Amino acid sequence: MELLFSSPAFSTQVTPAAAAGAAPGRLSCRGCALAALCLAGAAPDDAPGNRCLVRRRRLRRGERLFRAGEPHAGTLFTVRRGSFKTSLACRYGDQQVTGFYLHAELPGLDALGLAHHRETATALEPSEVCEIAADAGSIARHGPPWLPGALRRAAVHAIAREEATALALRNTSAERRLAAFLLDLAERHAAGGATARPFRLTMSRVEIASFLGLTPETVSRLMSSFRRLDLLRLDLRALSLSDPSGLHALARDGVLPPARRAAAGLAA
Amino acid sequence: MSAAATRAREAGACAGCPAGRMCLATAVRAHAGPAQALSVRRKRLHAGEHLYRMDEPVAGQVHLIRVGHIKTYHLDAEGEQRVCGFAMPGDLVGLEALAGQRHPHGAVALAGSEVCQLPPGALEQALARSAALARLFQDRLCDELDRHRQAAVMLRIRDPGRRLARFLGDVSRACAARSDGGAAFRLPMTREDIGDFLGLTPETVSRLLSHFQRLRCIAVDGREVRILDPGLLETMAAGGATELRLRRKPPCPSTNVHNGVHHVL
Repeated sequence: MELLFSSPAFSTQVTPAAAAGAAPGRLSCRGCALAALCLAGAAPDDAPGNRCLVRRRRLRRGERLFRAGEPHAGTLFTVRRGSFKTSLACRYGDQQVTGFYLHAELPGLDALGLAHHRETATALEPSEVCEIAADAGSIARHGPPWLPGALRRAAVHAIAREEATALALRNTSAERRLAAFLLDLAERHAAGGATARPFRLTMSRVEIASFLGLTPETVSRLMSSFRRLDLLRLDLRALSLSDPSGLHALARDGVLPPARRAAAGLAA
Repeated sequence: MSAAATRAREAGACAGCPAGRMCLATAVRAHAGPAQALSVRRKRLHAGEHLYRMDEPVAGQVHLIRVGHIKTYHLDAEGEQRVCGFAMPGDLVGLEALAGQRHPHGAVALAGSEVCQLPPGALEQALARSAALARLFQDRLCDELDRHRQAAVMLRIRDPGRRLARFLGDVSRACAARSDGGAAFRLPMTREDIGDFLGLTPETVSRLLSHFQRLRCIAVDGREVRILDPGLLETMAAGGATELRLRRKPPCPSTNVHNGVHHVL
Protein backbone atom coordinates (compact mmCIF):
# COMPACT_ATOMS: atom_id res chain seq x y z
CA MET A 1 0.00 0.00 0.00
CA GLU A 2 1.26 3.40 -0.84
CA LEU A 3 1.59 5.82 2.02
CA LEU A 4 0.67 9.37 1.39
CA PHE A 5 0.62 11.27 4.62
CA SER A 6 1.52 8.71 7.24
CA SER A 7 3.58 10.17 10.01
CA PRO A 8 6.55 8.20 11.41
CA ALA A 9 4.85 8.16 14.80
CA PHE A 10 2.09 5.97 13.48
CA SER A 11 4.07 3.62 11.32
CA THR A 12 5.77 1.97 14.29
CA GLN A 13 2.38 0.95 15.69
CA VAL A 14 1.07 -0.56 12.52
CA THR A 15 0.63 -4.28 11.94
CA PRO A 16 0.25 -4.71 8.23
CA ALA A 17 -2.85 -6.74 7.26
CA ALA A 18 -4.02 -7.54 10.77
CA ALA A 19 -3.11 -11.05 11.80
CA ALA A 20 -6.59 -11.84 13.02
CA GLY A 21 -6.76 -15.17 11.23
CA ALA A 22 -6.65 -15.85 7.52
CA ALA A 23 -9.37 -18.48 7.25
CA PRO A 24 -12.85 -17.07 6.62
CA GLY A 25 -15.30 -17.87 9.36
CA ARG A 26 -12.74 -17.78 12.17
CA LEU A 27 -13.43 -14.21 13.10
CA SER A 28 -16.20 -13.41 15.49
CA CYS A 29 -18.22 -10.29 16.04
CA ARG A 30 -18.76 -11.23 19.66
CA GLY A 31 -17.69 -8.47 21.98
CA CYS A 32 -17.50 -5.91 19.19
CA ALA A 33 -18.94 -2.62 20.40
CA LEU A 34 -20.37 -1.95 16.96
CA ALA A 35 -22.23 -5.26 16.55
CA ALA A 36 -25.63 -3.61 16.91
CA LEU A 37 -24.91 -1.14 14.12
CA CYS A 38 -22.81 -3.22 11.82
CA LEU A 39 -23.80 -5.30 8.82
CA ALA A 40 -21.74 -8.28 10.01
CA GLY A 41 -23.12 -7.88 13.50
CA ALA A 42 -26.55 -8.96 12.23
CA ALA A 43 -25.32 -12.55 12.58
CA PRO A 44 -27.21 -14.64 15.14
CA ASP A 45 -25.45 -14.76 18.53
CA ASP A 46 -24.88 -18.51 18.54
CA ALA A 47 -22.97 -18.56 15.25
CA PRO A 48 -19.52 -19.98 16.12
CA GLY A 49 -17.66 -17.64 13.81
CA ASN A 50 -18.99 -15.12 11.42
CA ARG A 51 -18.99 -16.78 8.03
CA CYS A 52 -19.19 -13.54 6.10
CA LEU A 53 -16.23 -11.94 7.86
CA VAL A 54 -13.16 -12.50 5.73
CA ARG A 55 -10.47 -10.59 7.62
CA ARG A 56 -9.66 -7.47 9.53
CA ARG A 57 -7.24 -4.95 8.22
CA ARG A 58 -5.48 -2.00 9.83
CA LEU A 59 -4.57 1.09 7.89
CA ARG A 60 -2.32 4.03 8.58
CA ARG A 61 -3.47 7.57 8.14
CA GLY A 62 -3.43 8.37 4.43
CA GLU A 63 -3.39 4.72 3.39
CA ARG A 64 -5.82 3.74 0.64
CA LEU A 65 -8.42 1.08 1.31
CA PHE A 66 -9.23 0.85 -2.40
CA ARG A 67 -8.66 2.97 -5.46
CA ALA A 68 -10.82 4.08 -8.36
CA GLY A 69 -10.31 1.72 -11.28
CA GLU A 70 -8.95 -1.10 -9.14
CA PRO A 71 -10.65 -4.49 -9.70
CA HIS A 72 -13.43 -5.02 -7.18
CA ALA A 73 -12.79 -8.07 -4.99
CA GLY A 74 -16.49 -8.54 -4.27
CA THR A 75 -15.94 -7.73 -0.61
CA LEU A 76 -17.33 -4.85 1.40
CA PHE A 77 -15.57 -2.99 4.17
CA THR A 78 -17.20 -1.86 7.37
CA VAL A 79 -15.31 0.66 9.46
CA ARG A 80 -14.39 -0.88 12.82
CA ARG A 81 -12.22 1.96 14.09
CA GLY A 82 -11.20 5.32 12.70
CA SER A 83 -12.62 7.15 9.69
CA PHE A 84 -12.34 7.28 5.92
CA LYS A 85 -13.05 9.62 3.06
CA THR A 86 -14.05 8.62 -0.45
CA SER A 87 -13.01 10.76 -3.37
CA LEU A 88 -13.60 10.90 -7.06
CA ALA A 89 -11.23 12.30 -9.65
CA CYS A 90 -13.06 14.23 -12.33
CA ARG A 91 -11.52 15.02 -15.66
CA TYR A 92 -9.53 18.24 -16.09
CA GLY A 93 -7.78 17.78 -12.80
CA ASP A 94 -10.35 18.49 -10.15
CA GLN A 95 -11.07 16.06 -7.38
CA GLN A 96 -14.06 15.80 -5.10
CA VAL A 97 -14.57 14.37 -1.65
CA THR A 98 -17.81 12.43 -1.98
CA GLY A 99 -18.28 11.08 1.51
CA PHE A 100 -16.97 10.48 5.02
CA TYR A 101 -17.33 7.11 6.72
CA LEU A 102 -17.31 6.48 10.45
CA HIS A 103 -17.76 3.32 12.52
CA ALA A 104 -19.97 0.58 11.05
CA GLU A 105 -20.43 2.53 7.80
CA LEU A 106 -19.72 1.05 4.38
CA PRO A 107 -17.43 2.95 2.00
CA GLY A 108 -17.77 1.73 -1.59
CA LEU A 109 -21.19 0.11 -1.20
CA ASP A 110 -22.35 1.68 -4.47
CA ALA A 111 -19.70 -0.26 -6.40
CA LEU A 112 -20.72 -3.69 -5.06
CA GLY A 113 -21.46 -5.92 -8.03
CA LEU A 114 -19.24 -3.88 -10.37
CA ALA A 115 -15.99 -5.12 -11.85
CA HIS A 116 -14.03 -2.06 -10.70
CA HIS A 117 -14.09 0.48 -7.88
CA ARG A 118 -15.49 3.86 -8.82
CA GLU A 119 -13.91 5.84 -6.03
CA THR A 120 -10.85 5.92 -3.85
CA ALA A 121 -11.18 5.42 -0.09
CA THR A 122 -8.46 6.84 2.17
CA ALA A 123 -8.02 6.46 5.94
CA LEU A 124 -8.22 9.83 7.72
CA GLU A 125 -6.55 8.48 10.87
CA PRO A 126 -5.16 5.11 12.00
CA SER A 127 -8.14 2.90 11.24
CA GLU A 128 -9.35 -0.67 11.08
CA VAL A 129 -11.90 -2.29 8.79
CA CYS A 130 -13.68 -5.63 8.70
CA GLU A 131 -13.83 -7.14 5.25
CA ILE A 132 -17.08 -8.91 4.42
CA ALA A 133 -17.72 -11.34 1.56
CA ALA A 134 -20.80 -9.64 0.19
CA ASP A 135 -20.85 -10.34 -3.53
CA ALA A 136 -23.67 -12.45 -4.89
CA GLY A 137 -21.38 -15.38 -5.65
CA SER A 138 -19.99 -15.86 -2.16
CA ILE A 139 -23.38 -15.25 -0.56
CA ALA A 140 -24.84 -17.97 -2.80
CA ARG A 141 -22.02 -20.36 -1.87
CA HIS A 142 -21.53 -19.69 1.84
CA GLY A 143 -24.55 -17.72 2.95
CA PRO A 144 -25.23 -16.47 5.52
CA PRO A 145 -28.97 -16.19 4.83
CA TRP A 146 -29.50 -12.92 6.72
CA LEU A 147 -26.82 -11.02 4.85
CA PRO A 148 -28.73 -10.08 1.65
CA GLY A 149 -31.55 -8.50 3.66
CA ALA A 150 -29.09 -6.60 5.87
CA LEU A 151 -27.27 -5.41 2.75
CA ARG A 152 -30.50 -4.16 1.18
CA ARG A 153 -31.39 -2.20 4.31
CA ALA A 154 -27.87 -0.75 4.41
CA ALA A 155 -28.27 0.35 0.77
CA VAL A 156 -31.63 1.98 1.51
CA HIS A 157 -30.09 3.92 4.42
CA ALA A 158 -27.13 4.94 2.26
CA ILE A 159 -29.52 6.19 -0.44
CA ALA A 160 -31.38 8.32 2.14
CA ARG A 161 -28.05 9.76 3.32
CA GLU A 162 -27.01 10.67 -0.23
CA GLU A 163 -30.37 12.28 -0.84
CA ALA A 164 -29.94 14.40 2.29
CA THR A 165 -26.42 15.36 1.18
CA ALA A 166 -27.64 16.43 -2.25
CA LEU A 167 -30.46 18.38 -0.67
CA ALA A 168 -27.99 20.32 1.49
CA LEU A 169 -25.98 21.16 -1.62
CA ARG A 170 -28.94 22.70 -3.49
CA ASN A 171 -29.26 26.43 -3.09
CA THR A 172 -28.44 26.46 0.58
CA SER A 173 -26.12 28.95 2.22
CA ALA A 174 -22.67 27.95 3.42
CA GLU A 175 -23.83 28.43 7.06
CA ARG A 176 -26.65 25.94 6.60
CA ARG A 177 -24.43 23.39 4.88
CA LEU A 178 -21.74 23.49 7.55
CA ALA A 179 -24.21 23.46 10.46
CA ALA A 180 -26.05 20.45 8.99
CA PHE A 181 -22.75 18.69 8.33
CA LEU A 182 -21.48 19.13 11.90
CA LEU A 183 -24.79 17.98 13.39
CA ASP A 184 -24.82 14.91 11.16
CA LEU A 185 -21.25 14.09 12.15
CA ALA A 186 -22.03 14.45 15.87
CA GLU A 187 -25.12 12.25 15.54
CA ARG A 188 -23.18 9.55 13.75
CA HIS A 189 -20.44 9.64 16.40
CA ALA A 190 -22.97 9.41 19.22
CA ALA A 191 -24.86 6.51 17.58
CA GLY A 192 -21.82 4.27 17.77
CA GLY A 193 -21.52 4.78 21.50
CA ALA A 194 -17.80 4.53 20.91
CA THR A 195 -17.11 8.25 21.03
CA ALA A 196 -18.86 10.42 23.53
CA ARG A 197 -18.65 14.12 22.91
CA PRO A 198 -16.24 15.70 22.16
CA PHE A 199 -15.22 13.82 19.06
CA ARG A 200 -12.19 14.10 16.86
CA LEU A 201 -12.61 16.08 13.67
CA THR A 202 -10.37 13.91 11.49
CA MET A 203 -11.06 15.63 8.20
CA SER A 204 -9.21 18.76 7.09
CA ARG A 205 -10.87 22.05 6.19
CA VAL A 206 -10.01 21.35 2.57
CA GLU A 207 -11.76 17.98 2.69
CA ILE A 208 -14.83 19.39 4.43
CA ALA A 209 -14.94 22.24 1.90
CA SER A 210 -14.72 19.83 -1.02
CA PHE A 211 -17.52 17.67 0.38
CA LEU A 212 -19.77 20.68 1.01
CA GLY A 213 -19.02 22.41 -2.29
CA LEU A 214 -17.45 25.41 -0.51
CA THR A 215 -14.01 26.99 -0.43
CA PRO A 216 -11.62 26.08 2.43
CA GLU A 217 -11.54 29.79 3.38
CA THR A 218 -15.31 29.83 3.84
CA VAL A 219 -15.16 26.72 6.03
CA SER A 220 -12.41 28.27 8.18
CA ARG A 221 -14.24 31.57 8.47
CA LEU A 222 -17.49 29.87 9.46
CA MET A 223 -15.81 27.56 11.97
CA SER A 224 -14.33 30.66 13.64
CA SER A 225 -17.66 32.45 13.68
CA PHE A 226 -19.43 29.33 15.05
CA ARG A 227 -16.82 29.30 17.81
CA ARG A 228 -17.28 32.98 18.53
CA LEU A 229 -21.04 32.43 18.78
CA ASP A 230 -20.33 29.57 21.19
CA LEU A 231 -22.10 27.07 18.95
CA LEU A 232 -19.12 24.75 19.18
CA ARG A 233 -15.79 24.27 20.89
CA LEU A 234 -12.73 23.16 19.00
CA ASP A 235 -9.61 22.26 20.93
CA LEU A 236 -6.93 21.14 18.49
CA ARG A 237 -9.09 18.64 16.63
CA ALA A 238 -11.46 17.74 19.48
CA LEU A 239 -14.84 19.13 18.54
CA SER A 240 -17.85 19.48 20.82
CA LEU A 241 -21.13 21.07 19.89
CA SER A 242 -22.01 23.38 22.76
CA ASP A 243 -25.35 24.47 21.32
CA PRO A 244 -26.90 21.75 19.12
CA SER A 245 -30.32 23.45 19.07
CA GLY A 246 -28.73 26.67 17.82
CA LEU A 247 -26.98 24.68 15.10
CA HIS A 248 -30.27 22.95 14.25
CA ALA A 249 -31.95 26.34 13.82
CA LEU A 250 -29.03 27.50 11.69
CA ALA A 251 -29.20 24.36 9.53
CA ARG A 252 -32.95 24.75 9.06
CA ASP A 253 -33.40 28.51 8.68
CA GLY A 254 -29.92 29.80 7.89
CA VAL A 255 -30.12 32.22 10.85
CA LEU A 256 -30.02 31.87 14.61
CA PRO A 257 -33.29 32.42 16.53
CA PRO A 258 -33.75 36.06 17.66
CA ALA A 259 -33.23 35.28 21.36
CA ARG A 260 -30.02 33.42 20.57
CA ARG A 261 -28.81 36.28 18.38
CA ALA A 262 -29.49 38.79 21.14
CA ALA A 263 -27.60 36.64 23.65
CA ALA A 264 -24.63 36.51 21.31
CA GLY A 265 -24.71 40.29 21.01
CA LEU A 266 -25.84 40.33 17.39
CA ALA A 267 -28.43 42.66 15.92
CA ALA A 268 -31.85 40.96 15.83
CA MET B 1 -58.24 -15.94 -11.91
CA SER B 2 -55.60 -18.59 -11.18
CA ALA B 3 -52.07 -17.51 -10.29
CA ALA B 4 -50.73 -19.03 -13.49
CA ALA B 5 -53.27 -17.14 -15.57
CA THR B 6 -52.42 -13.90 -13.75
CA ARG B 7 -48.75 -14.42 -14.46
CA ALA B 8 -49.43 -15.23 -18.09
CA ARG B 9 -51.48 -12.07 -18.38
CA GLU B 10 -48.70 -10.05 -16.74
CA ALA B 11 -46.08 -11.57 -19.03
CA GLY B 12 -48.23 -10.54 -21.98
CA ALA B 13 -48.75 -7.06 -20.55
CA CYS B 14 -45.01 -6.67 -19.99
CA ALA B 15 -44.26 -7.44 -23.64
CA GLY B 16 -44.51 -3.84 -24.80
CA CYS B 17 -43.52 -2.21 -21.50
CA PRO B 18 -41.76 1.13 -22.02
CA ALA B 19 -39.44 0.37 -19.11
CA GLY B 20 -38.08 -2.41 -21.34
CA ARG B 21 -34.90 -4.01 -20.16
CA MET B 22 -34.58 -1.58 -17.26
CA CYS B 23 -37.49 -3.29 -15.56
CA LEU B 24 -36.77 -5.64 -12.73
CA ALA B 25 -39.85 -7.81 -13.33
CA THR B 26 -38.88 -8.34 -16.97
CA ALA B 27 -35.31 -9.15 -16.00
CA VAL B 28 -36.52 -11.69 -13.47
CA ARG B 29 -38.55 -13.48 -16.13
CA ALA B 30 -35.53 -13.58 -18.38
CA HIS B 31 -33.14 -14.79 -15.65
CA ALA B 32 -35.22 -16.94 -13.39
CA GLY B 33 -38.13 -17.99 -15.54
CA PRO B 34 -41.80 -17.09 -15.18
CA ALA B 35 -42.26 -19.30 -12.11
CA GLN B 36 -40.01 -16.98 -10.10
CA ALA B 37 -41.63 -13.86 -11.42
CA LEU B 38 -42.78 -11.15 -9.11
CA SER B 39 -46.45 -10.57 -8.99
CA VAL B 40 -47.15 -6.89 -9.22
CA ARG B 41 -50.11 -4.58 -9.06
CA ARG B 42 -50.41 -1.72 -11.48
CA LYS B 43 -51.45 1.77 -10.56
CA ARG B 44 -52.18 4.67 -12.89
CA LEU B 45 -51.47 8.25 -11.91
CA HIS B 46 -52.56 11.42 -13.63
CA ALA B 47 -50.22 14.40 -13.89
CA GLY B 48 -49.85 16.01 -10.47
CA GLU B 49 -51.13 12.98 -8.57
CA HIS B 50 -49.08 11.86 -5.57
CA LEU B 51 -47.70 8.38 -5.15
CA TYR B 52 -46.92 9.25 -1.53
CA ARG B 53 -46.21 12.37 0.48
CA MET B 54 -43.22 13.35 2.56
CA ASP B 55 -43.19 12.11 6.18
CA GLU B 56 -46.07 9.72 5.52
CA PRO B 57 -45.45 6.31 7.11
CA VAL B 58 -44.49 3.86 4.38
CA ALA B 59 -47.58 2.08 3.09
CA GLY B 60 -45.46 -0.95 2.35
CA GLN B 61 -44.78 -0.79 -1.34
CA VAL B 62 -41.81 -0.32 -3.57
CA HIS B 63 -42.83 1.32 -6.83
CA LEU B 64 -41.34 0.45 -10.16
CA ILE B 65 -42.07 3.07 -12.78
CA ARG B 66 -43.60 1.65 -15.93
CA VAL B 67 -44.74 4.71 -17.86
CA GLY B 68 -44.15 8.42 -17.35
CA HIS B 69 -41.99 10.34 -14.89
CA ILE B 70 -42.12 10.76 -11.14
CA LYS B 71 -40.62 13.75 -9.37
CA THR B 72 -39.40 13.28 -5.80
CA TYR B 73 -39.19 16.40 -3.66
CA HIS B 74 -38.53 17.62 -0.16
CA LEU B 75 -40.44 20.33 1.68
CA ASP B 76 -38.26 22.65 3.73
CA ALA B 77 -39.19 24.41 6.98
CA GLU B 78 -41.04 27.14 5.07
CA GLY B 79 -43.01 24.61 3.03
CA GLU B 80 -40.92 25.44 -0.02
CA GLN B 81 -40.58 22.56 -2.46
CA ARG B 82 -37.06 21.33 -3.25
CA VAL B 83 -36.63 18.78 -6.02
CA CYS B 84 -34.67 15.65 -5.06
CA GLY B 85 -34.77 13.86 -8.37
CA PHE B 86 -36.63 12.60 -11.40
CA ALA B 87 -37.39 8.92 -11.78
CA MET B 88 -37.90 7.39 -15.22
CA PRO B 89 -39.42 4.12 -16.46
CA GLY B 90 -37.55 1.23 -14.83
CA ASP B 91 -36.46 3.30 -11.80
CA LEU B 92 -37.49 2.34 -8.29
CA VAL B 93 -39.03 4.79 -5.82
CA GLY B 94 -40.22 4.32 -2.26
CA LEU B 95 -37.32 2.01 -1.36
CA GLU B 96 -37.59 3.16 2.25
CA ALA B 97 -40.42 0.59 2.49
CA LEU B 98 -37.65 -2.02 2.78
CA ALA B 99 -36.33 -0.39 5.94
CA GLY B 100 -39.74 0.53 7.33
CA GLN B 101 -39.08 4.23 7.61
CA ARG B 102 -41.19 7.23 6.87
CA HIS B 103 -40.95 8.61 3.36
CA PRO B 104 -38.08 11.12 3.40
CA HIS B 105 -39.55 12.83 0.32
CA GLY B 106 -42.82 13.11 -1.56
CA ALA B 107 -43.35 11.52 -4.99
CA VAL B 108 -45.61 13.07 -7.61
CA ALA B 109 -46.31 12.20 -11.24
CA LEU B 110 -45.05 14.81 -13.75
CA ALA B 111 -47.27 13.41 -16.49
CA GLY B 112 -49.75 10.59 -16.86
CA SER B 113 -47.79 7.70 -15.36
CA GLU B 114 -48.13 4.10 -14.40
CA VAL B 115 -46.26 2.19 -11.71
CA CYS B 116 -45.93 -1.47 -10.85
CA GLN B 117 -46.20 -1.95 -7.10
CA LEU B 118 -44.17 -4.54 -5.25
CA PRO B 119 -45.35 -5.26 -1.72
CA PRO B 120 -42.17 -5.76 0.42
CA GLY B 121 -43.43 -9.04 1.92
CA ALA B 122 -43.90 -10.62 -1.48
CA LEU B 123 -40.72 -8.97 -2.70
CA GLU B 124 -38.66 -10.40 0.18
CA GLN B 125 -40.14 -13.85 -0.44
CA ALA B 126 -39.33 -13.66 -4.13
CA LEU B 127 -35.81 -12.46 -3.28
CA ALA B 128 -35.33 -15.39 -0.89
CA ARG B 129 -36.57 -17.84 -3.57
CA SER B 130 -34.42 -16.66 -6.39
CA ALA B 131 -30.71 -15.92 -6.09
CA ALA B 132 -30.79 -14.38 -9.57
CA LEU B 133 -33.49 -11.95 -8.52
CA ALA B 134 -31.67 -11.14 -5.26
CA ARG B 135 -28.55 -10.34 -7.23
CA LEU B 136 -30.42 -8.19 -9.73
CA PHE B 137 -32.19 -6.36 -6.96
CA GLN B 138 -28.99 -5.68 -5.03
CA ASP B 139 -27.40 -4.35 -8.23
CA ARG B 140 -30.38 -2.07 -8.76
CA LEU B 141 -30.11 -0.78 -5.19
CA CYS B 142 -26.43 0.00 -5.78
CA ASP B 143 -27.38 1.75 -9.04
CA GLU B 144 -29.93 3.84 -7.15
CA LEU B 145 -27.26 4.68 -4.58
CA ASP B 146 -24.95 5.73 -7.39
CA ARG B 147 -27.68 7.83 -9.01
CA HIS B 148 -28.08 9.75 -5.75
CA ARG B 149 -24.31 10.09 -5.28
CA GLN B 150 -24.00 11.45 -8.79
CA ALA B 151 -26.60 14.10 -8.00
CA ALA B 152 -24.42 15.28 -5.11
CA VAL B 153 -21.29 15.10 -7.27
CA MET B 154 -22.99 17.28 -9.87
CA LEU B 155 -24.08 19.83 -7.24
CA ARG B 156 -20.51 20.29 -5.97
CA ILE B 157 -19.51 21.56 -9.40
CA ARG B 158 -19.53 25.35 -9.27
CA ASP B 159 -19.95 26.13 -12.96
CA PRO B 160 -23.69 26.19 -13.82
CA GLY B 161 -22.92 25.32 -17.45
CA ARG B 162 -21.16 22.14 -16.40
CA ARG B 163 -24.09 21.17 -14.20
CA LEU B 164 -26.62 21.60 -16.98
CA ALA B 165 -24.41 19.83 -19.55
CA ARG B 166 -24.04 16.92 -17.13
CA PHE B 167 -27.76 16.84 -16.53
CA LEU B 168 -28.59 16.76 -20.25
CA GLY B 169 -26.00 14.03 -20.79
CA ASP B 170 -27.52 12.01 -17.94
CA VAL B 171 -31.07 12.35 -19.30
CA SER B 172 -29.86 11.42 -22.76
CA ARG B 173 -28.04 8.34 -21.48
CA ALA B 174 -31.02 7.34 -19.35
CA CYS B 175 -33.28 7.58 -22.42
CA ALA B 176 -30.81 5.57 -24.48
CA ALA B 177 -30.72 2.86 -21.80
CA ARG B 178 -34.51 2.63 -22.07
CA SER B 179 -34.36 2.30 -25.85
CA ASP B 180 -35.87 5.73 -26.41
CA GLY B 181 -32.99 6.73 -28.60
CA GLY B 182 -31.15 9.31 -26.54
CA ALA B 183 -30.15 11.80 -29.22
CA ALA B 184 -33.65 13.33 -29.09
CA PHE B 185 -35.88 13.33 -26.04
CA ARG B 186 -38.61 15.23 -24.31
CA LEU B 187 -37.86 16.82 -20.97
CA PRO B 188 -40.79 15.88 -18.75
CA MET B 189 -40.03 18.58 -16.20
CA THR B 190 -40.32 22.37 -16.21
CA ARG B 191 -37.33 24.72 -16.35
CA GLU B 192 -38.15 25.53 -12.74
CA ASP B 193 -37.85 21.89 -11.68
CA ILE B 194 -34.59 21.52 -13.61
CA GLY B 195 -33.24 24.65 -11.96
CA ASP B 196 -34.30 23.44 -8.55
CA PHE B 197 -32.69 20.05 -9.10
CA LEU B 198 -29.45 21.65 -10.31
CA GLY B 199 -29.41 24.37 -7.65
CA LEU B 200 -29.84 27.09 -10.31
CA THR B 201 -32.54 29.65 -11.07
CA PRO B 202 -34.96 28.89 -13.94
CA GLU B 203 -33.59 31.99 -15.72
CA THR B 204 -30.07 30.58 -15.61
CA VAL B 205 -31.34 27.27 -17.01
CA SER B 206 -33.10 29.08 -19.88
CA ARG B 207 -30.08 31.28 -20.61
CA LEU B 208 -27.74 28.29 -20.63
CA LEU B 209 -30.05 26.32 -22.91
CA SER B 210 -29.98 29.23 -25.37
CA HIS B 211 -26.22 29.41 -25.07
CA PHE B 212 -25.86 25.68 -25.79
CA GLN B 213 -28.08 26.20 -28.83
CA ARG B 214 -25.89 29.03 -30.11
CA LEU B 215 -22.90 26.70 -29.78
CA ARG B 216 -24.90 24.21 -31.93
CA CYS B 217 -24.49 21.68 -29.18
CA ILE B 218 -28.22 21.08 -28.79
CA ALA B 219 -31.49 22.11 -30.44
CA VAL B 220 -34.36 22.98 -28.09
CA ASP B 221 -38.00 23.34 -29.04
CA GLY B 222 -40.11 23.81 -25.94
CA ARG B 223 -39.42 20.65 -24.01
CA GLU B 224 -38.07 18.73 -26.97
CA VAL B 225 -34.28 18.48 -26.90
CA ARG B 226 -32.04 17.16 -29.64
CA ILE B 227 -28.36 16.64 -29.01
CA LEU B 228 -26.44 17.80 -32.08
CA ASP B 229 -22.89 17.52 -30.76
CA PRO B 230 -22.58 14.85 -28.04
CA GLY B 231 -18.80 15.31 -27.93
CA LEU B 232 -19.10 19.01 -27.14
CA LEU B 233 -21.77 18.31 -24.52
CA GLU B 234 -19.47 15.84 -22.84
CA THR B 235 -16.54 18.23 -22.97
CA MET B 236 -18.66 20.92 -21.34
CA ALA B 237 -19.88 18.48 -18.68
CA ALA B 238 -16.28 17.58 -17.89
CA GLY B 239 -15.33 21.24 -17.53
CA GLY B 240 -13.19 21.51 -20.62
CA ALA B 241 -15.37 24.03 -22.41
CA THR B 242 -13.68 27.19 -21.24
CA GLU B 243 -11.35 27.29 -24.22
CA LEU B 244 -14.30 26.65 -26.50
CA ARG B 245 -16.18 29.47 -24.87
CA LEU B 246 -13.26 31.82 -25.34
CA ARG B 247 -12.89 30.83 -28.94
CA ARG B 248 -16.54 30.94 -29.83
CA LYS B 249 -17.87 34.28 -28.74
CA PRO B 250 -20.07 35.45 -27.18
CA PRO B 251 -19.28 33.93 -23.82
CA CYS B 252 -22.20 32.66 -21.81
CA PRO B 253 -23.71 35.61 -19.98
CA SER B 254 -24.85 33.56 -17.02
CA THR B 255 -21.75 31.63 -16.16
CA ASN B 256 -20.46 33.49 -13.19
CA VAL B 257 -17.05 34.45 -11.92
CA HIS B 258 -16.40 30.95 -10.60
CA ASN B 259 -16.08 29.73 -14.10
CA GLY B 260 -13.55 32.23 -15.30
CA VAL B 261 -11.48 32.21 -12.15
CA HIS B 262 -11.65 28.51 -11.68
CA HIS B 263 -10.70 27.34 -15.11
CA VAL B 264 -8.93 30.12 -16.94
CA LEU B 265 -6.31 30.84 -14.32
